[in-house]
Amino acid sequence: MNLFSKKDAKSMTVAEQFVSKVEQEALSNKIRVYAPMILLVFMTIVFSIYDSHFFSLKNLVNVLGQMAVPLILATGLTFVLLLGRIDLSVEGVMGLVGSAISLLVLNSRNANDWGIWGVILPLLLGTLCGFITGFLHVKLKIASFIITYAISTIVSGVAVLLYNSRPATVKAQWIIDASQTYFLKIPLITWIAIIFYLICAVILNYTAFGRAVYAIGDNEAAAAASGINVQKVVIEVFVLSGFAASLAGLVALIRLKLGQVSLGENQMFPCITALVVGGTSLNGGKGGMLQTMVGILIYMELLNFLTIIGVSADYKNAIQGVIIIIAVALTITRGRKVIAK
Amino acid sequence: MEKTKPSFKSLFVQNIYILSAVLVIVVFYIINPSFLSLYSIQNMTTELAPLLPMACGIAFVLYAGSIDLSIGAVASAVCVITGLNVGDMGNIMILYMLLFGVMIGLINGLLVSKGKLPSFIVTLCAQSIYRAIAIILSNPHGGGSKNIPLKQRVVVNWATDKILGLPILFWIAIGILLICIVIERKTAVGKSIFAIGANEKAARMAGVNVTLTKICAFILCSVGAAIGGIMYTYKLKSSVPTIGDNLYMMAISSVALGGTLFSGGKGSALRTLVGVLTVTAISSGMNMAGVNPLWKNVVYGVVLIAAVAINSEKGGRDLIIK
Repeated sequence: MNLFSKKDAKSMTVAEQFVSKVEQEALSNKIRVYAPMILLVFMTIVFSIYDSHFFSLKNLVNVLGQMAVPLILATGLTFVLLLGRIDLSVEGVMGLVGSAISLLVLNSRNANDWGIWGVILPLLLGTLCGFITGFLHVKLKIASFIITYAISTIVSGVAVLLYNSRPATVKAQWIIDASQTYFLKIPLITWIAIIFYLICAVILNYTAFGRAVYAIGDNEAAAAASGINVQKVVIEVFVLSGFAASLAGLVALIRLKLGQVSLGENQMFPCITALVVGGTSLNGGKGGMLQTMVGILIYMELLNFLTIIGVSADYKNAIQGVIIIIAVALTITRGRKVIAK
Repeated sequence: MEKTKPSFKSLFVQNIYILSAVLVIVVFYIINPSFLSLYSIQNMTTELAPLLPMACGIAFVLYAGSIDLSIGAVASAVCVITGLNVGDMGNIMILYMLLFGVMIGLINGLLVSKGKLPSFIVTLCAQSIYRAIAIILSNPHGGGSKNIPLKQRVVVNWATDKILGLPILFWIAIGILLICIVIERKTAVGKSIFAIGANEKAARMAGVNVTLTKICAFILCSVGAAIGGIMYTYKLKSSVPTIGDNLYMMAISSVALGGTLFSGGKGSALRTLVGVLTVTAISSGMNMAGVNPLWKNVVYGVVLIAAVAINSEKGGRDLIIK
C-alpha cells in the first residue's frame, strides 16, 4: 500500500524508484568511504595553520613513535569488528604479557634471565588467552563483550598477582637497546607495528580466511550455509586479536620498561574510536585495513594536537568519549539490531 | 517420564541461583565459623547496601535487552561530587544527585532510543566521560580520595547508625528493592520494559511506546547508580574517584548470578537480591579467609562467565545486545 501511494505521489515506476534508490545508496557509500580521508587531510591543513610546529618533520617522527601500540591493537581489532564482535580483553592481555615478560627477562625483581624465551613464552600465553576467549564465546554462546570483559578482569587480576603489586623494572640490555634503535629516524617498535599491519592487510585482503571474515560479518547465516566453518573462523580471529594484544604488550613494555597492568590502561577505547571514525562498522562486514590506518592517523593527529595546545590527559578522555558518540552517530548503519554478538 | 525429565532440569537451572548462594555461604561458614557472626553480618550488610540499588538499576536496562556500562563511572562521579559538597550543603545533596542521575539516564536513553545508537557504545563513551569528570573534580583536592572533614561528619553520620542491629543504609537499600519490585510487577512502565526486552517489534505493535520505555529504563539505571555513589560517600565518609572502577563488574555479576538473561525479557529484583548476596558473601568471605584481595577480580570474572554460561538459552536465539 505504502509503495503504491509513494509511486503515485512521485509519478515514478517501481523500476525507476529502485534505480534511484540504488544510485543514492552507492553515492552515500562512496561518501562514507572517502569522508574519513577528507577529514584527515582537512585536519592536517587546519592544525598546520593553527600551529606551525604541527607540520614539521620532528613532530611527524614524534607521532610515528607514539603510533606503535594503537596501530597493532587496531589491526587485531579490525578483524574482530569485521565479524561484528568486540574484544574488550586486549587491555588485560597487554598488561598480562607486559608483566610476564618483565618478570622473565633480566629484571629488578627476581633472578630470571630467560633471554629471548622470556619474550616468546608470554607472547604465546597472550595468544592462548585469545584462544580461550574465542573458544568460550563460540562454545558457550556467551555474547563477545561479556566474555571478553570477564577475561579482561581475570587476566589483569592474574597479572597483578604475578608481580604481587610491586612491578618489575626491565634490566635486560637488549630490550633497552631496542627502545633506542631507530631506522630512517623512525623507532624500531613503529617498524614492528607497520610490518604487522602489512602482514594482516595481506591476510585480510588476499586469503580465504580474510574473505570468510567479511562474509561472516555481513551475514553469518548465509556464510554458514555456503560452507564456511563459522566457529573456526571466529576462534581464529580471537586468536589473532590475542596475539596482537600480546605484541602490543611487548611494544608497550619496550617503551616503558616497567611491567605493570597499567601498560594496557586506556588503550582499547581509543582504538575502537579510531576504527569507527575510520569507517569500520560495529555491525560487521564493513571496513578494512585502509580504514584502520586512516582512523589511527586521525586519532593520532587529534591526540598530538590536543597535546600541543596543552589539554591535560583527563580532559582528553572526556573529549574522546564525545567524539566517538558523534562519529558513531554519523557512520552507523541504522535499522540493524545486532551490535555485539 | 520423558516430559518430566527436561522440566526437572529446567527447574534446576532456573533455581540454581539459590543453590549457588547457599553453597557459597555454607563453604565460607565451614572455612571460618565467624562468617555468620553478628559483627560479620553487620559488615556484609553495610557492604551490600550500595551494590543493591546499582544492581537493581542495571537490571531494568538488561530486562529491556540493552546494556549500561557507565554505572560504575556514574557512581564515581556522584561519590566525588557528594563527598566534596555534602559538608557545606547538607543532606539536600542527595536530592541534587538523584536529579543528576535522572539527567544522565535521560541523555543515555535519548541517544539509544531516539538516536538509534547501540547502548553498548553510548554507555562506553558515557563511562569515559563520567570517569574523567570524577578525576577532574578531585584533582584540585590533590587527586585521589578525600575525607569529609571531621567537623562536618555530623551531616553524614546518620547513615551508618543501626536500627535492629543493621545499618540504616541497608534498610534504605531494602526499601529501594521493594520499590523496584513494585515497578516491575505493578506499573505499566515495568511491564513495557519486559515486553520490549522479549520482543521489541511485537511490543511496538501492541502499542507500547518503545522510545519512552527505553528512556525510563536508562533513567532507573542511572538513578540506581547515583544512589550507589551517594551510599558509598555516606559509608566511607569520603569522596573516592576510583570507587566505581570495579562496581560495574560486581553489579553485572550479581544480576547474572540471579539468572537474569542478557538477551532481555526475563528476570526479577528478588533474583538480583540473591545475586548481590552471593557476590557480597564471596567478597567478605574471601576477606575473612585471608585470601589475597588481588584474587577478587579473578574470582568475579570466573563467576560471571559461569553464571552467564549456566543461564544462557542453549540452542535458542543468540545473545543480542541492542
